[in-house]
Amino acid sequence: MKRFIILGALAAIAAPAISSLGGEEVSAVPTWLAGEGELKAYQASRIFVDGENEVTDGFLLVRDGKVAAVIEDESELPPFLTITDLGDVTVMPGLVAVDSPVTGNGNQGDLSMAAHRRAVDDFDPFLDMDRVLERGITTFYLSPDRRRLVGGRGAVVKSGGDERVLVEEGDLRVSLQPDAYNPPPYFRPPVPPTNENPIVPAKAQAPTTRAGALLALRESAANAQWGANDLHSRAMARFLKNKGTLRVAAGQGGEIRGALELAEAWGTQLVVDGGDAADEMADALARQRAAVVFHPPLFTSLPDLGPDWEPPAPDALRKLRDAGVSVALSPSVYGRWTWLLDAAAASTAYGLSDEEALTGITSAAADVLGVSDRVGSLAPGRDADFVVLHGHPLDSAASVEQVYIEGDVVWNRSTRAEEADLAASDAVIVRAGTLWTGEGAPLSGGVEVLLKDGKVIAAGRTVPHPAGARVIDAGDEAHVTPGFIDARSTQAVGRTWDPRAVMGLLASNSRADENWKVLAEAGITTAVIGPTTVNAQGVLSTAVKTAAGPGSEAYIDDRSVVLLDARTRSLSSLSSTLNGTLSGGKKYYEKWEKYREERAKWEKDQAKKSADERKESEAELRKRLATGAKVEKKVEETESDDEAAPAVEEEEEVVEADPINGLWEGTIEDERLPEPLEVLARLFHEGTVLTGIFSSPLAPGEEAELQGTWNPDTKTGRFEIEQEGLTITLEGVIDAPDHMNVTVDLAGLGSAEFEMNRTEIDTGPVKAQTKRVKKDAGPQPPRLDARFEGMRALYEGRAVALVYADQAEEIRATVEAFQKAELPLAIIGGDEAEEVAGLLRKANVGVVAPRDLVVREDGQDIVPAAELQELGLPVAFQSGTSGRRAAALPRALTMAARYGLGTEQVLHSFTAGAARMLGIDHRVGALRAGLDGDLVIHDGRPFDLRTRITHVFVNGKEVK
Amino acid sequence: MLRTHSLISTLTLAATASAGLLAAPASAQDGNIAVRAGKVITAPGEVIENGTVVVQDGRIVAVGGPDLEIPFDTILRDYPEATLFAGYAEAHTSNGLDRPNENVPVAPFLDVKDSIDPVSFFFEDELRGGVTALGVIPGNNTVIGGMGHIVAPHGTTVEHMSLGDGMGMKLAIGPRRGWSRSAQLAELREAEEALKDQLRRLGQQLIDQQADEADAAKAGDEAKDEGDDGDGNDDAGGFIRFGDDFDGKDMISEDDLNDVQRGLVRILNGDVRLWLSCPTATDVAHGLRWVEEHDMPADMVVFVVSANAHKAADMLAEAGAQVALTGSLESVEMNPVSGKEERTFAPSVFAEKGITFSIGSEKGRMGPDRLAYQAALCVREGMTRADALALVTVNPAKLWGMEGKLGVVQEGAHGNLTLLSGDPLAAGSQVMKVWIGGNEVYDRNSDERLQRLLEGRTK
Repeated sequence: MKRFIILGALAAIAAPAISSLGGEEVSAVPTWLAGEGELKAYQASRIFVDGENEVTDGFLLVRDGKVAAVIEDESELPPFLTITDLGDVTVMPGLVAVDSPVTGNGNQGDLSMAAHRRAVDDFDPFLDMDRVLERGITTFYLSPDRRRLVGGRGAVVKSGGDERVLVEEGDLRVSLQPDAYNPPPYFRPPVPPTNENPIVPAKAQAPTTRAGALLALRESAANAQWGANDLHSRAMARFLKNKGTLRVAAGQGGEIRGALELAEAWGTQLVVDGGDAADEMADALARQRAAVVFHPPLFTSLPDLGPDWEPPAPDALRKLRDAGVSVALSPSVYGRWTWLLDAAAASTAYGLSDEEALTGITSAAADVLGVSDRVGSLAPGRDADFVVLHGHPLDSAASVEQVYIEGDVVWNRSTRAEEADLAASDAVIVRAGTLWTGEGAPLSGGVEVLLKDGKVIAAGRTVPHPAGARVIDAGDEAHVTPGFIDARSTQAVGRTWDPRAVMGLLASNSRADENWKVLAEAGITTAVIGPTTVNAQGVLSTAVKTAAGPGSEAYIDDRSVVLLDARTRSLSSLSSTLNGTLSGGKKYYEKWEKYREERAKWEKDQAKKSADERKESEAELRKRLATGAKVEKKVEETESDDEAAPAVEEEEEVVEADPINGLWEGTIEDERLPEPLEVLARLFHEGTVLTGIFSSPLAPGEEAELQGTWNPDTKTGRFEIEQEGLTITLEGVIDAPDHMNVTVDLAGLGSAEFEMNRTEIDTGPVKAQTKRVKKDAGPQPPRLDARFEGMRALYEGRAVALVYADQAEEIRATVEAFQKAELPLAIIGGDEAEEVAGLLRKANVGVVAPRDLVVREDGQDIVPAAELQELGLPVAFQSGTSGRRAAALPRALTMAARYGLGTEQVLHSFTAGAARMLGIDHRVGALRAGLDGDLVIHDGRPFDLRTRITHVFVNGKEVK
Repeated sequence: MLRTHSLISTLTLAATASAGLLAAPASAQDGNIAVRAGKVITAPGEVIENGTVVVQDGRIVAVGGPDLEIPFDTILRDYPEATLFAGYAEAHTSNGLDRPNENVPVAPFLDVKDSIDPVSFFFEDELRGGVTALGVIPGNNTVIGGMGHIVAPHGTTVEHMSLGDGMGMKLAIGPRRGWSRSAQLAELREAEEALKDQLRRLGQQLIDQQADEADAAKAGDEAKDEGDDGDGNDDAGGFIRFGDDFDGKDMISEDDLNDVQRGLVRILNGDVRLWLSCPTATDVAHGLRWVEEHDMPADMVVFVVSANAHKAADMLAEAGAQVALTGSLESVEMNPVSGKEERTFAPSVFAEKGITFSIGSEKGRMGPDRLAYQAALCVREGMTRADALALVTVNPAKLWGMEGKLGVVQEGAHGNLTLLSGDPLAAGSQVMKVWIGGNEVYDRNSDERLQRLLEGRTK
């Protein structure tokens, strides 16, 4: 017989567990050591033995699918025991769903009273349990028909494991609720019909009212006790004799009163299912030792609750518990039945403590179902059914990671996604004690950051918790900061650099380089990469992510940094040089602007023209249709009109096909490239002179015309491109008709091989083709000038200039020149910047501090960056170098912080300040929604020598 | 109710119509024939080149090589290019009945011999396909469906077609249309409980009757025979051999019971082979539990399953169950996590687990409506030719309890032979001739319907 005095039952369950936790019985050999079978140990940071007892940093011991013990002290473990460290997780007993809609939803026949029906007959052991297990449910109730007065006997089954059915013939479910009223009439023709056993008309069935329901039940019980011989009566008699559990679906007070009467009259245990109003009868329920299944309302959309719906009273469950009534929890019909953890959390709104709420979905639920000797707790001897969660079970961020039944993993979030060939959620929730967003003062006392799809979704005290998100709890001591920005690096770049030709390739190519990883692991997530030597015209540089896959996330593609050198020996000519560069750049920029405007106008005109033409031809077509003229031919003509403005003149003359003349197509597929690069080349030769026009769909409208050599004997074409000292070699060997193997050599920076196929054969006279192919008749772009591309970027507002200037005069001249040209600027180096601080402050120009962060001057240790900050100038930091040396920058800053550069100042200048100065604050520098998911987790205060970096994320992915 | 009146008229009409079509050519003596063929497949994987088979009085009396002695009165037919085997066997079908199920859910008193339509086109078509034996049994839309029969697809009466004593009783664990599983199982349990209750009363009644008669005998009114249980119908009793003992159990004889009770007792006694309809894996789980609860011997139960039951293959193998796979061989399910379709070829799973099973044809689908095609699919999915052929020859015979009698060419087996132009699993093979019980019942050259189909309407 079951006991519903939950406290008593719990005490009985908990007692052995508590004693094995090591209290008084220290000297005795633990009982769990004895026994056959292999002992397995699971280590977790928190283990709930049941709702009310938990162990921190303990071990769950399992033998033969049963719990052997839960212990705290590692020294108690026998030697040579393999310990599975589950990590920083919570382990709790498998959840027990006290109700489920898996069975009992109709079709169970017309009989209004069918105590002989068994819900277990409807159990489908092959039903997919994924949705059940992912919520941590290991045991659940199978209901008989809910919409009948006596639905039948319920059952209890497990959601996994070998032995699925725990209770075949469980409680008798009776419904006193209106949905059981007015059952259909019952008709069963006898076979064979005889005079003694004739066919009778369909029989009307009770009940139509609650009074009728109770009357029918009493009558039925009386019939059963008097030995009526139908199946229902026999089953009823058996139930009454064995004093099983009576489960009554009862909502209102009257229904609960009826349930109490029945239980008293029949002398059975009572479970009131759905007692929203049960608190009004708490004392009566306690006297009857009844348990209540409470259904806290949970919604994802607003259901039609009807005009009379009232939420349960805020103290409903408190009253029940105080009266001594056991409460099990299951979500209401408006929510999903598997939301057990949510139901438990929600029930605290009706007066339950956290412990009682957890009990309501574990041990109390097991008690209601009569299976508390098997499940619902991790006390010794119970089934080793447990759930591994991230976070506290009642926390909305808690996510079930693994589910064990009888000691075996039956569900695992990570492998399940793999098995089902699904992409696992990439959402990560980082928890720490203190958050530095990059701006302003840190936020302390427990913070969260949500990263998803490579971006920061939210950062603050609490963040949304998407299902399946990985939770990294770094602890209260940990600090989270944005990823650091190195304002000037030469990582993986040689002396020269042609951004137009090789930027994408380099940025990705260098990923193979181990140095990048070292940078990322040091917390530097973004670095501005430029060549080691900088000229006075300015070279384009790019802010590159130190750890990211190929693609546009690998670098900040819409903003550039232009590096200039204004350091000079002749200060007198500096101004004119700078102004010359700037005005030259401006002219070049204006040429492009003009082209852009003309092009836009031309395109607009073209569009209008073709629209007019179409309109005209349509009108004509309509006219012809109206007059019944022949239409088909005209349609064809219209189509060919649309294809006006032919790009290339075609020659019809047929001569013998040349091996190389024609249009070649190929795709460079290389893991170092952000994406496969399609290349089109129109090649034609005159003797040994080979001319090629190269284009790519990636850069529409831009073609490069190259002159090379053609060796007809080896069938090899060769191009050499000289650009700022960088020699790019293209060599193609025709190995089969219309097929060429091409090797690209990037001056030792790397090489790539690809194949090209000829898709068009040019047979016409070569001379006609040597003219540059025009795409259309509209305005054509000006010739690209690599020297001024940086300047163009500046004028177009796509870049910030970073100018090397040390002496005060250099700085002054630079600032003045740039102010005049109205271009954004920052000074790099700036040895004498403090002397012109006023000018810099006025012009709002920041300074990238020199590489020597601490210098000794006049017997004093000086931190130049600190002095600049004191003068109110924005500051950023640079490594100015490549390789592993660059990764030492955060360490150097830590030392600088000890010399008087404040932690907050360092952090700001190393993240948000630098991002703003470099014009990349729309992507990086702060932990703010919408920015790149770059963050660093420190195990203590950042820029402290005792602190270590524990995790680094770049674009939402952990650097490992 | 059980037999429509129109059946008789249909039967008469159809019999007249088809009499000329498939009439066997007159042979020297009924049921005597000797056939020699280029290849004789005696059992799956066992082939005699230029083998000879001698059938006398409807049974095979000798199987041997080209030199086998032929009795003087038996005509030898020689087909040096052709293949001879026992013909395909359909383990479980509800075709050829005027309708598969009655409306009464518990109908153990039904027997398909009252329902089989010997001249239905179904049988004619099966014959054309080279099938020589079919297990015809009530359908699955029932609780207790009735008795089935093993028949040859030829003959004008059911008795003529019959190949054995009876196939067994259909019992459905899978729910009837519109029923839930619990309603289905409750109905089954109800039938059993009701029977037990009725038997208890009957036993008591017989004891009372005996006492009355004993009193009367004491009074010297008339003398009674020894051993009479008093009901005047019989002198045996002891028909009930299952369940707990109760008063008068030994006195109940078969004749004391009505048709329903008799049928149920025979099921529970284990007197009849049970064909347990368990379409899905879930039904199999419940079916196995039912069998275990009733302590039925594994060889007397056949699980009639669909391809979905492959998920329960482990349970079936563990219980040593026999399985008749019906319908499609492939189970298509959606993976609930990924939402992708997953296909499983059920015969491969059953074969891997070592389950004795048969496969069946799928009516209404070109291709799968032929057993040869279904078996060939198994070969495509990796089974050996011999194993695949066994699924449609010897395995059905095993399920029927007719091992060595049907599905094989060996001494003592039924003289059922099918002559093919090629291999039994080859798509290009044609059924040339079929002998049932040593009588030629099909000849491709005189199959008018086929010829018309192949040649097209000429007039």
